Amino acid sequence: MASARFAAAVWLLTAVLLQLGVVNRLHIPYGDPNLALVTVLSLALIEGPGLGMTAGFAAGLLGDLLGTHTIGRLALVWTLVGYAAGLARTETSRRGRNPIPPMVFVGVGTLVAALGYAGLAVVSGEAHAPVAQLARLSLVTAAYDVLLTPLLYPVLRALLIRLDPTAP
Amino acid sequence: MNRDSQRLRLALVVLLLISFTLITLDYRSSKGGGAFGGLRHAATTVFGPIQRGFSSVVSPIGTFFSDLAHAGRDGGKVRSLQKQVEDLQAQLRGNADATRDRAELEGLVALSGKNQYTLVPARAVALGDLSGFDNAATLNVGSRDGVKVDMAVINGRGLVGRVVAVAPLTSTVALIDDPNVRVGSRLQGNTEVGITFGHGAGSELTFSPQDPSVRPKTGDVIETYGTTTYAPDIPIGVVTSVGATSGKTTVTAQVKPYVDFTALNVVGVIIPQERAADAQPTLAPQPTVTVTVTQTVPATPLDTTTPTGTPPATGAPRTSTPSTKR
Repeated sequence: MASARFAAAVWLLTAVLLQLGVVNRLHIPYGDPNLALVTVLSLALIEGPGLGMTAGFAAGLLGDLLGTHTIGRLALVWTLVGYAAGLARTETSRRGRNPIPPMVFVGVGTLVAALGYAGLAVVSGEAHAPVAQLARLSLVTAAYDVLLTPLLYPVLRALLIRLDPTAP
Repeated sequence: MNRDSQRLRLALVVLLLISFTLITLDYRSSKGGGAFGGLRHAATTVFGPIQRGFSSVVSPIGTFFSDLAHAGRDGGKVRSLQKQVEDLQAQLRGNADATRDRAELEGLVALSGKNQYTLVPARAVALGDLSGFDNAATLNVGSRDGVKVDMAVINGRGLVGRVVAVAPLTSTVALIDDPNVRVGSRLQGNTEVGITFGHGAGSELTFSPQDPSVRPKTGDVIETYGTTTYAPDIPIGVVTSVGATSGKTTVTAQVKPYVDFTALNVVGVIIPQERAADAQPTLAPQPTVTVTVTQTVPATPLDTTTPTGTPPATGAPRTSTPSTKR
């Protein structure tokens, strides 16, 4: 249990650093996948709402502190999507082999997170990019995240099951 | 409802309340420096060295992919750039007159106390933001190198952004294509001020002059006019199209920035004159400033020693000033 949590934390931290240090500068056309968010959503889908919201809050707060926007924005949104994705766990099942449900949930989760984050900018009065551009960027990120899920999710699930085989 | 799910909901509410409190406090205090400047500082202090180490390990991967992405575009450029470097080096050697002129100009500029940049060279070790929406970069220089909040960051092409957070070894920069960054700017060769601001990654900037009589034209160069943050005459970009704001007499111009924000690598933090004394302008592992010169676009040279960024148009009147004094 503890080792699984530790592995999840290390994985998440690595995802955050990889996202900022590598993925964001790969010049991927039209937008970038969000490795950290895919990790948060995958953790939630594998382990449930508890780990989902904790991971979302931790990664979000780290993103807030290392970024330039108002602190707490990403933490708030990612806590919520982590929790919500965790509630969907019964649908995906820890042992399930079907790759489609996690892809769907990651796609929807990315869109909701983007919507929430951009929405908070409007509410808090921060300047933001035009809505059309935000929408385009969100869709691109969601598409990339969906494509990333079949690569990342099974590995993360296998790792967590191996470290904590007794969990439901 | 069982006790487990009650506990979960309680935890959720607590985390949401913490987030919401952070947003409220940080937003309300953002005009006065930010209540969580310390928190941000702490996080950057802890993660800065990790990011630095991390980037030195993995950046070859990123460079590989970005080289790949740029291969079609930049492949032919390399040879011509190398030739330019050789030509420039030859010019430097044989240009004693120019060096003297430059020294005079430097004296003059130093006397006026502006337009001479002292740079701390740096490398962008992380790009972008975890949200995917904000435009930021992390540099591998920090307060130990003399970097402070609100200093301007440039690269060989032009203005990059502004330092928003500083840790001992790293600093965070808000890029000028971020919608929240507004730069006091003007048309090159014009004294009327305006504001340049961004619309998010990948889109052009907008220049909005305050005086409605100022009419930018396509091809005009936008540069900083000199504020406490941005030294004067840093090139920002070139006007690509001009459009009137509906219902107003003011004209706004779309500006293509000189800097490629997705390919930031070697940059320099401008240390304002009065702070230059306690800064350490060079760091061993970074390329020398000469490298920055090789990256310049022809009309806008930048380096530490010349009154750089002085574009020909504004440079001409200045060089003539000493002769009027004689």
